[in-house]
Amino acid sequence: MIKAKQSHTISGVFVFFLLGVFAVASTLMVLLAAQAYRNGIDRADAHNAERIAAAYLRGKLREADSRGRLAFDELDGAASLRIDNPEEDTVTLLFVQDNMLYEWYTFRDLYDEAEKDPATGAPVTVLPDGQDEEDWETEDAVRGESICALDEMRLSLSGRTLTVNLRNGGIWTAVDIALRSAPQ
Amino acid sequence: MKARNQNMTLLVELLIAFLFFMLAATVLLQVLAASSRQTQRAGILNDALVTAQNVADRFCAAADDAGAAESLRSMGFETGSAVWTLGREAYTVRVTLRTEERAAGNIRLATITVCQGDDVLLTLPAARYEEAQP
Repeated sequence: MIKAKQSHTISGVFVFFLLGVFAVASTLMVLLAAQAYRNGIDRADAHNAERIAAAYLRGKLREADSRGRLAFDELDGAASLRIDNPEEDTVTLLFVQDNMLYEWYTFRDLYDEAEKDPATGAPVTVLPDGQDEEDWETEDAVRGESICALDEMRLSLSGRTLTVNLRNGGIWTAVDIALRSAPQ
Repeated sequence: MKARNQNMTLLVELLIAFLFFMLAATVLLQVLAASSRQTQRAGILNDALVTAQNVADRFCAAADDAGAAESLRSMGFETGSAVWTLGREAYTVRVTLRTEERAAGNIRLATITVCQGDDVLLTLPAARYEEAQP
């Protein structure tokens, strides 16, 4: 009688033990799958960041080069690319700031004024028309549109080949462009 | 007796549930593995495209055949008579050069092929025109 009772207890415990193993295995499986999915997404994001900047710059520079409007420039001590548009008297500047690639499209005279700051010699942020300096905090004034994440951009010219080296995280990507016209 | 029967039934039900769980887990793992392979392949394809575009642009920017050869060597290509090869970790880049003569000059053609083993990932043609010497 006692043995029969023990047998009942053991078989009952075994069933619940099996249920517990099933629950733990399910939880582990869900956690593993979520981690694998998260890793895949992070890898894809990192690759996308480096590809977007390279593809955007390649298209922009080819278009500018086809019109012979490409020039090297400097902004805040960092290398930048300037695309001149003399018909409309505007310029487009491509530069990297605060780990972002910026494109600044503005009138030529405003751009020239922005380069000269009598007090510090640093470029002055361009304020919209009609706004006084007191109305704006430095952080509020925007210079250009942010395009994508980019940590650093280095330019080099060898013959007719313009090489743009881009860094995102610790990964460098080189973009070579055959120029039709010599940059200024 | 009744309790024992109930326990046996519960055990059988649990085993069946376990079996379906294992089947579903196997399918899920296969899907995750395929997704990871696809992401990796997409990354390799994009890297290969950027490399092929760089090779094409350097070829087009070269002044002559010697300049083109120098450009390919500086990128790490191994010398070949008509086929230059660059071995990367995930793929191989081959550049096949040929010339077509025209009345007004020569067209230097380069076919850039990126392969992963026996699979051709992409093919990119490039051309450079050289005027005939007077």
